[in-house]
Amino acid sequence: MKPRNAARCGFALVAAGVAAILAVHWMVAFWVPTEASMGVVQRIFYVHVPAAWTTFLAFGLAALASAADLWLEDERADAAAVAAAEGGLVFGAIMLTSGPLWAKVAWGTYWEWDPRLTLTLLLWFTYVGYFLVRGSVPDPRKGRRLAAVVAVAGALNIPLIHVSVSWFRSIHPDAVVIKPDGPTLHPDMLTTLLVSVAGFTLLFLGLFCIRYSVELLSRRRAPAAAGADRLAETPAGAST
Amino acid sequence: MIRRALSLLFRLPLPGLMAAGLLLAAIVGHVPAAGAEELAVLAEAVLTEAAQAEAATTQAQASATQAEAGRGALRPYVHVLAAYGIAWALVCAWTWRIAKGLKRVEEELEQGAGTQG
Repeated sequence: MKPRNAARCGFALVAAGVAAILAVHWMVAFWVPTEASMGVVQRIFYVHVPAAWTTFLAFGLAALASAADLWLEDERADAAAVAAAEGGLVFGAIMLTSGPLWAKVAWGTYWEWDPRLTLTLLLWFTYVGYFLVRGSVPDPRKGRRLAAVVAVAGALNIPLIHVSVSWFRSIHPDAVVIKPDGPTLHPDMLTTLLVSVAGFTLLFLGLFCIRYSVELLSRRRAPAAAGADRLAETPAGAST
Repeated sequence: MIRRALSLLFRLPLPGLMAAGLLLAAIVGHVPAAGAEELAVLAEAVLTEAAQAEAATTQAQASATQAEAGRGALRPYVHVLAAYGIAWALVCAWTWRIAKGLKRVEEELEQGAGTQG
């Protein structure tokens, strides 16, 4: 997809995502029933779970794009990986702040070194490392390849996070939607959650498309701008 | 009075023990009869005072618990608002960063078009 088309598509997706999220705010405030045991604080669920889903989607996309870049050495794949990893960090930060806010009321503490929580924090820091690796290696090409390896290796953590609740002793609540015997949520709660997941996904994909186009345009612009600067700095009458 | 004294005895350790000691002394007759009556009156006064103090303490504790419950009831709302607020702030920050990058690229493209033109 051409960068400008990606940006246009991104704006449309962002608009749809924002509309869905505003609808979720109305549902959370006025429509969805209050959970019996946890009360009002359970409403954090409608931002925490979609943020978690979007984080895994973003980091998964970053890993796939990085693998494609390692294989094909395509600049578009690297631009997509950067855009997706950046989005993953943003939505990961939402997940990692909303979870503890819920836990403070539900568990009485902001943080527990529970397997799922610890692995999720590790995943987030792995992708912080992705950007640090890119920026710290003097040769940009080498930095890009090393960062791609970090992205692919980091994504191996995602399935482990998903199964950590059943594999290890964990205080994190079990899955209530993706289960072999179907969702165990109240239908209204499930509807709100699905609308929220759709809204977060659309918002992420929209911002991802715009960020991808910006990244690609700035990379294509940079060599041209450098060439123009070199031409401007060349003394009059000098020939190469 | 004895029933009341015994019931309070279990609830008020120190004044209860004092009153129980005085009553016991009066009952077993180690003190003269007139003194025993005075001691019994004194014991009742101590018990009354202790019961009033206990009632005041219970009321204060109840008020404190009520205030704590009030704060506890508000806390989930604050946490919910904080969670949604942080989510919006982070998304807006990323959007602002992307918009800044887009503006920069567009300016560069316009400059490039101007140079070529």
